[in-house]
Amino acid sequence: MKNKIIILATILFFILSASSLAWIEKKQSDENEGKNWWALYFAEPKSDSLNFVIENHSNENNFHWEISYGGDKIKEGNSSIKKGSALQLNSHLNIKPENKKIIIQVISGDKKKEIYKNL
Amino acid sequence: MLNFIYNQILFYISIAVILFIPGYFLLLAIFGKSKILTALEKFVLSFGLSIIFVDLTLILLDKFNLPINTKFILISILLFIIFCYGIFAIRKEKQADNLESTNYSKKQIFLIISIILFSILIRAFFLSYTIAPTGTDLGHHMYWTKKIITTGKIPNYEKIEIVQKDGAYTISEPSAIDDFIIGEHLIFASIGLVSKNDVTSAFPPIILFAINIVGMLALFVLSERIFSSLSYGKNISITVLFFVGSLFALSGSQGNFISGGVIGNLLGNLFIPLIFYFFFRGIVEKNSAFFSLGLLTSFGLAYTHHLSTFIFAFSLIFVLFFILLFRGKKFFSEIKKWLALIFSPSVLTIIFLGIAFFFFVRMPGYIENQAVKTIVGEPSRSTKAGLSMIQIFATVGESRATLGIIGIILLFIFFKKNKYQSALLVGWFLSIFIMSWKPTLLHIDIPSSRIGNYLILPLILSGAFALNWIFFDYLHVQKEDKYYLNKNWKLSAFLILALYVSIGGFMSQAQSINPAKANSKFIETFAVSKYLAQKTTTQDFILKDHNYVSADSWMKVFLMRDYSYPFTRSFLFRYDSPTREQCTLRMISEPKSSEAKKCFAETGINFVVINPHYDSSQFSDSKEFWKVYSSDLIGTYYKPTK
Repeated sequence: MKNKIIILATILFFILSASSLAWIEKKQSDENEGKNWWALYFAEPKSDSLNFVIENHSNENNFHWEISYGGDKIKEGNSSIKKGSALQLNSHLNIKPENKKIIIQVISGDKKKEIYKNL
Repeated sequence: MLNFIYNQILFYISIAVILFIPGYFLLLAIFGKSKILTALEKFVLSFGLSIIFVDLTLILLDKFNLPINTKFILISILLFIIFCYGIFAIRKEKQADNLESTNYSKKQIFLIISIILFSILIRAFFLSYTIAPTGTDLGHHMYWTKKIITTGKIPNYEKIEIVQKDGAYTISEPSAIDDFIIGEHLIFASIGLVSKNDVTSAFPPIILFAINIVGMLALFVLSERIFSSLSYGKNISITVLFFVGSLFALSGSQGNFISGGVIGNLLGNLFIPLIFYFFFRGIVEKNSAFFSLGLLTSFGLAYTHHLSTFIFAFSLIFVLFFILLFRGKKFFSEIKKWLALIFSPSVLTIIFLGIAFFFFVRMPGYIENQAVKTIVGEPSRSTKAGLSMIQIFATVGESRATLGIIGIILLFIFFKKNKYQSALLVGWFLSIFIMSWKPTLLHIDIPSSRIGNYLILPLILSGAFALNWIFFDYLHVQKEDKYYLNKNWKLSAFLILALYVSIGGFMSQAQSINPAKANSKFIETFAVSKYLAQKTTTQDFILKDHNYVSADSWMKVFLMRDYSYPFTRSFLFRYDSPTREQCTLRMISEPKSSEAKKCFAETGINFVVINPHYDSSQFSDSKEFWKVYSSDLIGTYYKPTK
């Protein structure tokens, strides 16, 4: 009987602590819970398409984006994206390929990110 | 929340079904309901035997081209239960009701439960920082686990590599890897399948947590048996539990083991005490059932972890040698006893089945690939040439090593009091000590520090013996049944010694717990992995950086294209080796160099994942790369074909 008490106590302590750990991991692995980051990427990284996505996991909701070609700003705009959401922006531009850098720059709060293609 | 609760219930049921029930029924078939085993022993042994049953059964399923999935796993377990229960029902009448149990006082039970609670809490505290699946080695192992889950087959342990041949770089055809053994992955795969949990969750570290807790109890039940003849044996066992549970919980590499550092070592630390338990009882009690279970567990270990198997084999030889040495004139009667055990029906059955399984079902990968040759011979590197005494003391902890070695010396001097117990601990300790201190004496070529970690188990046992011997034997006047020291002095001295050992233990724990590990950096690595899994095909080749990208080894688990996919810029010092390919270094460190350009062209690598805080400028300066993904800690570049 005394041995069984040891087993029951071990199982109980284990389940309680393992469940707590699983809960902690669930929170740690949640892209939004307590996190403050966002990502910018091309929707089609391998093609010439300039459609891009802003994926927001930060506390900021307002994003300002600019597209520049060879150093000249050619398009800009503002978007509001809720935490946990992603927004795809389709940039329909008529550009003659001159092997110049097309930069998409996004600013939110004090953070700035850019992606680019050479077209 | 409801989903979480449902998932947790299913998870614990899966653990019970896979990691407890098969072993329990095997013990029921062998020992019936006799009390030859205590409840705690049944609990611990069931866990270890279940792992072996699941491993061997899934290997058999694969051999007969049956899929490894939830249905077949559960059917196999059910059939095994029916088979074992059938044997139990047939043999019911014949089994003796051998009354053997360990009776602890209420105070001792309270102490044991308190130690277990403390041991679990301290591990849970450590794991709370590292519970998210981020460990490098765990990532490697979970790739194979996921491969089993998704294909329903035992994988071929192979990988592609970047190789240089005739001045040109190419990606090789898949070639065999010796580092992995199927038994390390089948348990995780079966629990993942039955509990429907993904490998990128808390379930793998929690399984390791369970293995570690049961490993701790395995040492406890082993100590109960080997010190059962001593009047203070129970106190030694409780001390063992305190040492292994609390003080050694997170010491050095143990902490990393629990959070997924080295799965095989953790399983080895469970199986080695279990095997010694079975053999100890088999030989001391002349019980062929225990002896055959020892053989079965050794066989299971061989399919689980090569280093542990190798170390155990050496230890067993040493232990048997010391038994014969300590038996002196009874040398031949001891040999006769062993032969009687070996030629008993149950042992011969296990040997026969083991040989059949080995030759006709599956050999452990390291034997099939002749990898054993790589660990036998003169040390090939300085890290394999042996540890100095200072390094050995540092590996196991100064205070523990001191106390443990005192225990070994005492056992050696007073071996006549209990020959088997002394032979077990002296042989176990000396074999590992020589392997880590002077490996050339045994002609082995394995990293010495990895062997040194295995010293902890025999040192815990001998250290606990030493501590208790001093206070309950040496200072005790047998005839008058009183102590040389008065009660207060004795208690004070005991506490001072315990404090000395404890401080050493807790200091190394403090070093093991690194709050910096508790971060969410891996989230961004996982996010880019999902992006690349969607946007790339098998025609694309990705290179990522291991130095600055967090949890990068887990990228392969999202992509599932090859063990080496994405390719990796490894730790920078590794490129100092003259035989190491340099492409993966140059393609990130100097992508504009002619060598790197040649590497890109010849390997076809067209995506590079780096940490922008360390490695972005060399890419942004170049017109040959597009930056296609950007987050705080991840930058991804694409190299379009012209």
